[in-house]
Amino acid sequence: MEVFKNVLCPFCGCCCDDLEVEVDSNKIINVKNACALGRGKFLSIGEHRLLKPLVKVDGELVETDLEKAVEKTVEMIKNSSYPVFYGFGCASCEAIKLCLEMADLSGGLADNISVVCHGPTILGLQDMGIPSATLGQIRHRADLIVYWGCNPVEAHPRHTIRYGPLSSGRFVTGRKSRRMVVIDVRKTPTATMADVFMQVKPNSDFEILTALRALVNDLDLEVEEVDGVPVAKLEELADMMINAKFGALFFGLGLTMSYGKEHNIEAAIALVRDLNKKTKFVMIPMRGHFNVTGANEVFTWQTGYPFCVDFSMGYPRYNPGETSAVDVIARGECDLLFIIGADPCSHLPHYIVERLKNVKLVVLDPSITPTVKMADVAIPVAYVGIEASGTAYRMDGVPLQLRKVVDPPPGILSDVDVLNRIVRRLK
Amino acid sequence: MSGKLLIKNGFVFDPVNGVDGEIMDVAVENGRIVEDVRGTDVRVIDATGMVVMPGGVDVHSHIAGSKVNSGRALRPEDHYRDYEIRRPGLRSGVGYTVPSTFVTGYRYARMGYTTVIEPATPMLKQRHTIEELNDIPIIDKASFPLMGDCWFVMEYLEKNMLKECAAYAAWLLKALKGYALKIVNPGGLESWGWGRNVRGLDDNIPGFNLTPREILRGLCKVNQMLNIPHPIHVHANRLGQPGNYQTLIETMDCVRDLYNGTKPVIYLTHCQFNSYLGESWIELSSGAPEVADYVNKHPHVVIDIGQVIFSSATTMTADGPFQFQLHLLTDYKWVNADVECETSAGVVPFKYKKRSYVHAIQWITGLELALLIKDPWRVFLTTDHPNAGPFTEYPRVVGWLISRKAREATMKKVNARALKRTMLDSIDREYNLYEIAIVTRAGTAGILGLKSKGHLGVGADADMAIYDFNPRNIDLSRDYKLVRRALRRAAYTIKTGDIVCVNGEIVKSTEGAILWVNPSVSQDLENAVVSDIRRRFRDNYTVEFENYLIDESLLINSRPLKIKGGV
Amino acid sequence: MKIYQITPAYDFKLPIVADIAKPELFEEKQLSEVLNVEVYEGNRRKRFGELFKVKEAGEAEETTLEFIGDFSKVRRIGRRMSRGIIRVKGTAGIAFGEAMKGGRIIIEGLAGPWLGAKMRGGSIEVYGDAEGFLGGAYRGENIGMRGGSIVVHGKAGWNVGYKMKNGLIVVESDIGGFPGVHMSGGTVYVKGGCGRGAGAFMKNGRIIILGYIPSILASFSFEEIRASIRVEAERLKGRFYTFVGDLSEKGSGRLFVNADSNRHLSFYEQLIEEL
Repeated sequence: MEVFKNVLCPFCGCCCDDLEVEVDSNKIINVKNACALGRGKFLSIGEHRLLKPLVKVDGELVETDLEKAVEKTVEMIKNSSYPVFYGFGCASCEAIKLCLEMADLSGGLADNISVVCHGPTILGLQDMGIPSATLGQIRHRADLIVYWGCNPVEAHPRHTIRYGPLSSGRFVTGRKSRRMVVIDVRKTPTATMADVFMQVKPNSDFEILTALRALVNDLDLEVEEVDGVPVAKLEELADMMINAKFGALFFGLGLTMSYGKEHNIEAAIALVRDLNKKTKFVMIPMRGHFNVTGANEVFTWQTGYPFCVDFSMGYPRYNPGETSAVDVIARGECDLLFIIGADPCSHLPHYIVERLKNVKLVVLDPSITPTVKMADVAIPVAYVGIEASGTAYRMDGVPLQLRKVVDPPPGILSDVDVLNRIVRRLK
Repeated sequence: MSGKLLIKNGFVFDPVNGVDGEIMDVAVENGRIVEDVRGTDVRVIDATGMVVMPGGVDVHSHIAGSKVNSGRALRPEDHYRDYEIRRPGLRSGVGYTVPSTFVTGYRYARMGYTTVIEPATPMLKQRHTIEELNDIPIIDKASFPLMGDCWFVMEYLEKNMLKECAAYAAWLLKALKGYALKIVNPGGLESWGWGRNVRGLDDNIPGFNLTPREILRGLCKVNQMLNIPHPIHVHANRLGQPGNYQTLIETMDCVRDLYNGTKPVIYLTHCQFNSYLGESWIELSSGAPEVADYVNKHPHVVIDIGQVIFSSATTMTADGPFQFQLHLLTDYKWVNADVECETSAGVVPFKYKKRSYVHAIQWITGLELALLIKDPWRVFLTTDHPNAGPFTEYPRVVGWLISRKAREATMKKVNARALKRTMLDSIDREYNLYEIAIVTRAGTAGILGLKSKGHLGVGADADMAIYDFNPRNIDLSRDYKLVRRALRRAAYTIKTGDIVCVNGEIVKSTEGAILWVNPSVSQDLENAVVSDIRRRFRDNYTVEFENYLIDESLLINSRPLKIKGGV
Repeated sequence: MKIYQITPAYDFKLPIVADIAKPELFEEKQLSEVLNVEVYEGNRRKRFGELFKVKEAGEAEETTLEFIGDFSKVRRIGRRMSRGIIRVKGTAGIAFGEAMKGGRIIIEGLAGPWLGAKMRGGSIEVYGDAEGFLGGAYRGENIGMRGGSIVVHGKAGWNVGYKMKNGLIVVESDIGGFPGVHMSGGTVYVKGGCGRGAGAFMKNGRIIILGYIPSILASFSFEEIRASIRVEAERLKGRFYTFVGDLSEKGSGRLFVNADSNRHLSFYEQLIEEL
């Protein structure tokens, strides 16, 4: 038996890098230090595996070899007048680079799944900036931690222990020396841990944030309650924020995807920014997939834009709403969709999935997903971070190495190797 | 790169070898300068009537890493109108102040620059910096880790454990593939962890029993002990504050006694931002004469100017408290990015306007520094890209240096009150091409300790720039616009013997190397320090020790520099 | 001056960027040259004449382009136009009339998002609905509409007047949330109702809502009740609650809300007595 130490968990944006994986005869038999979600991923990689490349012939998916599948993919990309390359939540940075090269070479559109999760965070940032920090800064210094519209106990299980209220740092040690606030539309398991839980009505986040910011800026409010929350309670929270020596705001899809979207984030940024006039305060988005942050980083350094990049006119163009993959698909504008590290047929709204019926579909995935079942070409790949190495970025932008602990099933390559074959032929 | 090249009949400017515009041939084989090349396979470039120089070496330009990328993401409006269309063999991308990686490489090569230093990278995010450097084509590059406010460094210095500190610094450079020690606003970044700043060299740093002065002196000694080729690279305290020239001079002076008469011991970067006289913004004036006077009298100091260009800019530094002040001053959007146990960073867009009194003072201060410091080997041309302006505007700065007329043309348009309160108008000095070659390549390569760069002697890297203007037929001062144009688009850029650019168009994209240093440390000392660091690593960081290291295999083209001496 | 009728040569599926299509092009070039101008359809370069049928259809005082049919896939028509008339009988695509400086655009049908984005002058009239970012800016930019006027006779989407600095936007029916967000000048006048977030981050300018508004942001302060408001030559009569904001941005914009359609805001009237 072999034990791999310091393994990065390829599940959520926490990117815990202290896992111990026990491997015997190329089989993972145990995972230590991981949460149930991460552990589950390591132990279930054998399930529903896509083991052979598939090509659609007369409406039926039939097995083929890698060469033929690659050839067919290259032909489809070359013939496409507007290919869309989408996904990248669960791909390594190395694979993302190759996809961007493909999009650049073929005049396509490249977009990552942040368009359906933290895209509004990016848009908010582009208007306001963002006062942020790495997670360790919070562990060492934060005496106030606010979770807004996110539920780490269920979605990022080790967040509170490694980086949040339960962590122990140099200047602030342990839960007792920190205050924890949760703001959400329902009492989540995270909320039960909090010192203060403020329940808000759905879609009222913008109003509440605006009111808080006004209070932080010493304005008198002319109302007694804001969307059902008494102003006295908001005043308490504002005071708590101002009086913190170091405050941190974590926010999730409850904020980015509710009414107001990017404006909610702008309001949160404006609040945190103004708090910095009185104390120290930072904010970090709770990114979902383990490398969606990396997708934004690679997109940005290669093209200048974090997502929604359209190369169709020979250079990067950016206008989310116009050049965002989901909108392009919804408007029925693309003729080829190339997917890697995502399963849009399970996650996108039904009316958009309907549109995919008229679009050629290429999918690279380790397992048989609903998207694979709809594909014209499906190519199996290794699980990155388990069967292949690479680079991923934690939710706070810290780059880390994904490790290979077992070999993929026979004949299956990493996504990087498959993409390299495609890119070589496109050149 | 194995190709043979002969560059014939150019006016060669090679200050390291004392060549000042003489008509010479330069021969290249296997990527290096050779005595002569022969054979039928020699490619001849006729450089008759052109200027031949070593490839440009930029000692301080923010081109890669997490804060640069934050700047790119923050500013889509910076890119919309400035883009490069994909061409066969080349990638597309965008500018303007924060260009994408491919465009960064192309644009430097287009100006005849072949080596560029990213001067501030947080160690925890070094992998990011390396990934971006890998994606910058053609040019060679290196990065300086931000060690000044690193907890391990501060703890060793607190306990006066210099040897251990040196061993730690050496290990960091080696483990993270860094090139020199960078110090930004010493003590100020740790203070910024609490939303505060330090006010001078002798403030106590919150949470530590240490002062900025002790960090500077400690790391300066460490640098000497390790024999690192580049001196400590310092962004001084109180950057961007009126009256800060005194702090700058104090910073220079605090390591004066460590100079042993051989090589400079401290490098002060973008000094323009630290050379302000006056108590407030209203009274702001240039402190360049005072700073230049100090530099002229003290050979232990080297600086670069950080010249302001009147254009849009994106300010980005590890100086978190400064960036926040700039945000408060301008109300422009603001990114802050503190890094645990190490540093902070901030990004704020900016625009330098000719009519603004303060901006005009800044422009004047930079030029005064360049013109009043007599020894061109100790003052270098930078714009602290993209803080004071994008690197693509270097030819404009050269124009101001070589031509009083060029300065006058700009002075006509800048804030008149600023001119009245400064002495720029009374300076007649004009740089010649020999001096330009020093401040843009020979001198910068020298201070970086890059022995095979910045000159055209036998054995040097065949990195060259050929500019299409005839220095004997024109008057630099009068025809500065012609020179400026030629510098914007090199007639040829040669990188490691490859012709990568012809008439300002990139013709070939190559992989530049990443340079890093590997200092010598005795095995026992290294083992002791590494095991100490490893033991305490989890207390400090939220990542594991092993995942902090950068394997050399991550560098597409790695070029380590083994250093003799050490501890 | 001539009138040109332009129709799609076939049903478009791919996005087309036709930012060169404006009256100036037809004045400066022969029709045969216009037909040869290159336009992107997806990632393919096509000739204008391959994508569009163009015919001359009489004379008018100003050069007039009549787009007849479904142009919903065609983007940026009329970009930076400074004179002449564009008339759409059908559907207009994204960013129609982007950064226009003068002339007139009339859309008899639906318009896409970013209609009149960053407009500087001239007029746009829509006899149908418009989508989001009406007269807006693009991401990261500081300023959207700087001048001119946009009148929509139907509904409009979110972020009407996004980052607007000057000019007038009139929408006769309901609009989505966040009208006048980041506004620094100009007037957004909505005869219908709007969603939440009106005037968020506004520094200056005016927003007038005649219909229902769900709530007033806490960073706005009640100022007075006005009996009339002037919009260009028109004088609106009624009872208008007037709010100042966004105070967190140190803004002095005005938000006027019709009292009669917003009885749930009547509690503000108590503040008058206190004032």
